[in-house]
Amino acid sequence: MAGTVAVACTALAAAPAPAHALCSVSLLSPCLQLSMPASPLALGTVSAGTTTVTAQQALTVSSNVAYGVKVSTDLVDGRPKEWTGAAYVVAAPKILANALEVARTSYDGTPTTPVWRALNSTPYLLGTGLGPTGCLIGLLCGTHDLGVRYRLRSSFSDRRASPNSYRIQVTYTADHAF
Amino acid sequence: MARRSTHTTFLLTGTAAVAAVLAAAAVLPSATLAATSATGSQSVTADVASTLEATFPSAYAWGNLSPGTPTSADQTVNVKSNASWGLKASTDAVDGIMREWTGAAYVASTPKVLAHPLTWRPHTVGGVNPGASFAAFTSTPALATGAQGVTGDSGVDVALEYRQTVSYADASAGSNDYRILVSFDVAQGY
Repeated sequence: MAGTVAVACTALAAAPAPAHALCSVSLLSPCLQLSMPASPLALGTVSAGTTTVTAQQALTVSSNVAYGVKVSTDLVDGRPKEWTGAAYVVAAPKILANALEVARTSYDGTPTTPVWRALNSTPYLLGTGLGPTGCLIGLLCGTHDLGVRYRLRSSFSDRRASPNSYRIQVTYTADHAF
Repeated sequence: MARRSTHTTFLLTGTAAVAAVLAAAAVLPSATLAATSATGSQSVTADVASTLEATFPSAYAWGNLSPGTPTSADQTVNVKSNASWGLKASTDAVDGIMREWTGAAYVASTPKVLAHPLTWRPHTVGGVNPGASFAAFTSTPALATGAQGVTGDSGVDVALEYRQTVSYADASAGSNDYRILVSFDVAQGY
């Protein structure tokens, strides 16, 4: 392919949030990097019948072209399930009544109005046509923080799981094709 | 849309910097090439506290009673609980007997008292009549219903009925009333 050389994307700074990314070598080749907030995010013990909104979680993206982000969960219906600390309970696990919800609450430092969406295992487009994050002649790319919050509406149908807890895994995929 | 630039962190130093970048990239293994998609995960954990909420009926004014055995309208306690629960009831009078009341306090000196105690029963629990009999109130909490399951968000209604036997031995309290205070105790574990 004329005019292109090998392309790579690697962080210059230590994980989890690089200050910027190195995208080499071509102006024409794509580069995309995603850094995640700390995991697990522990909500602690919530009261039944209440709604808990987490602190903002920042996904840091570095990209030299426009990108989108999709989000999904490991559980089909998005409802957190009883977790031993090492694995989901297999036999008759407790499952929360309501799905975990997510909303994009900021983009590149600018707050956005949350539109809450119940998560499930089908990837949901959290944002499209984002970026690029600003690159120095296509090589060194800056970063954007994509802020998200989670919302959990607990029910009086939700039993205490202690000594276990409830868990769900949220997966984000950033892609130039989204 | 306003954006926060991070470009200043690069501190461009001209062609030498670009050359350094190119040099660094040149040694990257080919296995890391061409990232057009990136994935990351975050797990979210929580537990739910054992939680109980209840709403209680307001004061019940029976009005002027004639000798007989009138039964009150249902007095409803709504309970929301995410663990097993029960309801107990008791009165401020040891013997469950209504006593002369000024509107602000019980009459202290030779108050009039009714001849018979106020009685009660759970009429329905979650819409189902448990078939309980009337029993006299006392100051010892008595179980109206127990070992009830998780309620869900709409809760479960426990409807109580009061019944007061009024006799010809019961004199009018005049400008005062007869009164008793019913206390409800809802807890997980009853």
